[in-house]
Amino acid sequence: MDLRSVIDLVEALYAPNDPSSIVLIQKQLQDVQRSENGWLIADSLLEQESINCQFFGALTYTVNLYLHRESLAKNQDNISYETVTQKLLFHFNSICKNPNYSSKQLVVLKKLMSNLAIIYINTYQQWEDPVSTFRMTLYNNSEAPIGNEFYDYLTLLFTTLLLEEIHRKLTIDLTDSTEFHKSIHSHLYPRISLLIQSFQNTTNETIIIQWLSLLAALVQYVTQAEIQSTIRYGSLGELFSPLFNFATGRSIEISNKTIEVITLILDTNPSIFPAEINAELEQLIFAGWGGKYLDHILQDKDLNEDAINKYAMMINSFIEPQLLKLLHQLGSNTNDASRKLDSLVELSTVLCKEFIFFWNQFADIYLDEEDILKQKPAWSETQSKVQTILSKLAEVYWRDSHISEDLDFDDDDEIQDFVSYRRDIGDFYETIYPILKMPLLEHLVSNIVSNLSNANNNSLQTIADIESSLFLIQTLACNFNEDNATSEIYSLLKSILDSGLFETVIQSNNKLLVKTSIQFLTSLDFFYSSQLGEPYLESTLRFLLSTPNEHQIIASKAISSICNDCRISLAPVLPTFKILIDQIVVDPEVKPIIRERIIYSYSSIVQGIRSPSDQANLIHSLLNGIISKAIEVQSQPEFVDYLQSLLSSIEEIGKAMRLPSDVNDWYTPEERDAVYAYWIEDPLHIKKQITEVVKQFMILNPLTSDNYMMNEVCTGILKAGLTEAIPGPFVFDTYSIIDLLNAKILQCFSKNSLNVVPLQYSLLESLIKSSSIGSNLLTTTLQQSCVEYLAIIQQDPDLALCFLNILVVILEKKPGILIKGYLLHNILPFVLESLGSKEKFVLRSGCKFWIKLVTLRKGDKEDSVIIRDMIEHTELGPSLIFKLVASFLMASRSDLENFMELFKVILVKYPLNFKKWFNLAFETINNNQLLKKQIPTNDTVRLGQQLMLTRGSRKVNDLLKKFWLQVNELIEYS
Amino acid sequence: MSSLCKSRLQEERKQWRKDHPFGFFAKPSKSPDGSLNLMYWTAGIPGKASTIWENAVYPITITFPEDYPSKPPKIKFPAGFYHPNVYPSGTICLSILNEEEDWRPAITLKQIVLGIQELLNNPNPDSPAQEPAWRAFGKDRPTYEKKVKEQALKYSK
Repeated sequence: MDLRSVIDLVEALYAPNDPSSIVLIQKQLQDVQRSENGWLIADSLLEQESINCQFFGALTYTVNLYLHRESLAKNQDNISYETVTQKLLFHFNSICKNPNYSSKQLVVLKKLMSNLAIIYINTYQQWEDPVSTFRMTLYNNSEAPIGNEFYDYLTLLFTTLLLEEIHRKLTIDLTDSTEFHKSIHSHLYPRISLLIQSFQNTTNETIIIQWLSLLAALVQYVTQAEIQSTIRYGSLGELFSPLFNFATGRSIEISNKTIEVITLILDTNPSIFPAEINAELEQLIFAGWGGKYLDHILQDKDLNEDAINKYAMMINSFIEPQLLKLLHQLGSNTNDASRKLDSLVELSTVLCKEFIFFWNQFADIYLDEEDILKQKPAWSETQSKVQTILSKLAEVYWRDSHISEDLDFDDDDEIQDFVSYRRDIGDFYETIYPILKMPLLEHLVSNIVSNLSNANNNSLQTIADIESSLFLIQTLACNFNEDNATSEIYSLLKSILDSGLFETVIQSNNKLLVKTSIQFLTSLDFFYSSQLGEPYLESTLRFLLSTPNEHQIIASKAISSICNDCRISLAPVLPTFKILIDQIVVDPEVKPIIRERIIYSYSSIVQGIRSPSDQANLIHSLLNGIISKAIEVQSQPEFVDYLQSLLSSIEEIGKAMRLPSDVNDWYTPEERDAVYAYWIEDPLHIKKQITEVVKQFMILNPLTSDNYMMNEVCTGILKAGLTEAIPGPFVFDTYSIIDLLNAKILQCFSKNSLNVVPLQYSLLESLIKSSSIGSNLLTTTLQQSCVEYLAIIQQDPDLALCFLNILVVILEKKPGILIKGYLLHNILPFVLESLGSKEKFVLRSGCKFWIKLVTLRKGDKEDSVIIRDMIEHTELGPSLIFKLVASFLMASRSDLENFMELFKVILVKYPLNFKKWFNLAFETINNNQLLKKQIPTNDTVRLGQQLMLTRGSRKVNDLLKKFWLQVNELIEYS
Repeated sequence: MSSLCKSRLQEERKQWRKDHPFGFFAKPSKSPDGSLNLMYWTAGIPGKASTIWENAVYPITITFPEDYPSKPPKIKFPAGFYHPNVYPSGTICLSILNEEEDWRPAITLKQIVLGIQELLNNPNPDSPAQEPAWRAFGKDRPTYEKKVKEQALKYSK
């Protein structure tokens, strides 16, 4: 490609273009950069006037420095680091000394400097002092004194970039860097130190800013060098001396940059500051310039937001490491610590957000140190002082947690920012609660109660007060429970609910207050479960049910949680609840999650009713409403989601009707017998009603019977009562379930609609797990709905997986069903084949099946004898080992783990036969050329012997992995 | 708790308070007596905007082992969480949380939670942990997305 074309491409690269063209141009230019003319192209581009071309030329140097790093190091290809350095310096000179130089070209100069830094890193043994070389080049090799501010600025910039590049390189590359550090310390550092000192009195602001950046880069490097080597730089005090002059005597920009650098130094390596610098800094913050500077920048908070943040960060970084010392000094005679903390409290009233981290640390350290502080004579003074400080701060942050009048609710970022800061305040309250204890909570509660009793309690200020107090109580209440909540806490919470909270919240129509109130109520589960809280359940529930639509999702969560926990006490609200239920059942616009949660909540309360007939009447009525609506919309495709939600609501009833605890804890013996008798009889035919619904939508209705999610809900309904200890409305007769299951599976295979079969197989698996299915019924079902379709199952990994899972559960629960009959023989080819599956889950379950079969933990003696006989005296043993070994060797690296356990259990259970079968397996593999290469017999025999010696220990993994790598000609990553 | 583990966890808490990613939260739990349990944290991962995971904060629990940071923390979503790389128990399958894969003691809590947020919308199909979400993600994307959105409503902000 000629130069003109390259130039055109470079210009096109930086011009607005569509992404696909950019990718194409990038590809073409990358080829040019990497071509044998790369260096020449770079030079030619750097000679162009266009900044884009110059930058791309400098970039091409970077690419070639990386590409030819090996030949450059060996001085091959007629080009060396030295010649590249000369060329780069030449280009640098040409650009920066061109009369038409523009500041926009600084980006090109920086790239050239970065290339020089790369060369230095690779040639430091020869090129010991690049700073001098650079400076001499700028001053045309004369030992000129400081004379040109632009060149001085460039020298400082180059030195900064050089140190940053070194730091970056040594952070990534962890090879021994001792020699490099030594060279820098001996040759480069003296030059940098001189350079820093020579500009300490400069007045040029651009140079000061760069000087500060250089100092920061030097501290970063020095810290790294002292960690990575034995080199020690000692005190750098003399280099820091002008820092405070820069901070105090210049523009905000310089002060700001100085503060940033001081903070970086404090965060990177605070010990690098000598004591006198620390003392000077303390003086500046607490007794001098700091206050004035802050007043100045606070005059325009928005404009100086960055400066305010940086100033606060500097104080944080300076004081935070001293917190422990300050705490220990608090109670002693010296009041220096007290004065300092008081000034920080004062500062925090202005810089609340910026200091929250600091006070959280303060409280944490105090709590951590409390036991030691208690031993000191001045403990009570310390404790009292800390409590005073934190009480003041609690007030400050309470005020700051208020929603501000000018908060823009439509600005998501602004809202998120507020939410995030408020969470930090909540965190602060949680941290200080163990220190301030009840007075903290009392203060918040009394604020709410007094505001609620205020006649003008709808004013924005009152609402904001109540809202922020509720928010903070909620964060504290999340940590309360029945064990740690005291009677005072219960009384305080009661007093809030006695003060007309709900009425005020509803009248306020304030979105945030409603939301916070819901969250507050959600945190009171321990309260509602108590005797004191019980009377408030009904009003709470009524309030939650009345919240506006936009809050219904979180309100429904609160409702379902409260109803679940307090079901027994909530029976009186059922009539009111039912009115709402009737509405949400028939209204297709209600969000499914809300409908389902509310129905779950209602059903939880129904479950708490002791009389089974009362329970049944309510459930019957609820089901009637849902089912009639479902039937009404069943043929309307636009209502499929609504229909699904109605069926999900039935599933939710099933979940809610489960016993919340052990049957004997929940019912008296008499109640239990009554419930048992009632649901066995089921006079309202509720179970029949439910199974009919399932049949309708899972099998009969053409609109829903192929719909995966609808089928998922239907099987969910059938599963809902499987684990129940006594009969209930969702504890169906197993035969009814199996009838539905068989019919559905037959329908699926007849219509070749296999996507929902896994749901039926999963239902069967659950039936086996819950031990609700008898052996004969299970055997018939397996034959009728699984084995019958084995040819299809084998071809479909989803079905194969589900069938394997069923087999695994059978082996865990009732292995005799499989072993004693004819089933095992029928499925053997399938389960053997599963070991070679490339589908991860099928392979995992296949291995699990064989592990269960070989170990047979649940089987009786007869089962064990049958299996041992099959493995040792039929073809099963050799076939299993052959399939296992061949599949293992052909498996992908990420699947190897699945095989290890199976190898181990076979080694343990069949040690005598293992070696024979193992060798036989390799013979077959080699004879049938199953792998790319023949495996030497010596290797396989040795591996067999080594495996035998492990006796199934963890060493098997290492041996097999190593062998797999060898056979597949791969290497271990780690 | 070893002193190394304690000081590292205190540092993690400090660093988190000082600077944590937007919309996330993480804090140690409180023991019944009100004291801080640094070994067990609760946290929330916001779903990224403009993805099917948005508008929700997904709760996780973080259990640090005694030999942290030599060993990684165990991180769990609620049981039954719908995601291809989350086990039915809720345990997250992520290489940086696996001692035998990419865990390094220098990995911070911030990096971990950001890694989990990234995983939400970019599942790793090579490390399936649960069958339903993995299958739907690979073979039935509309169902996968519908279920993820339903889950997002469950954990909505």
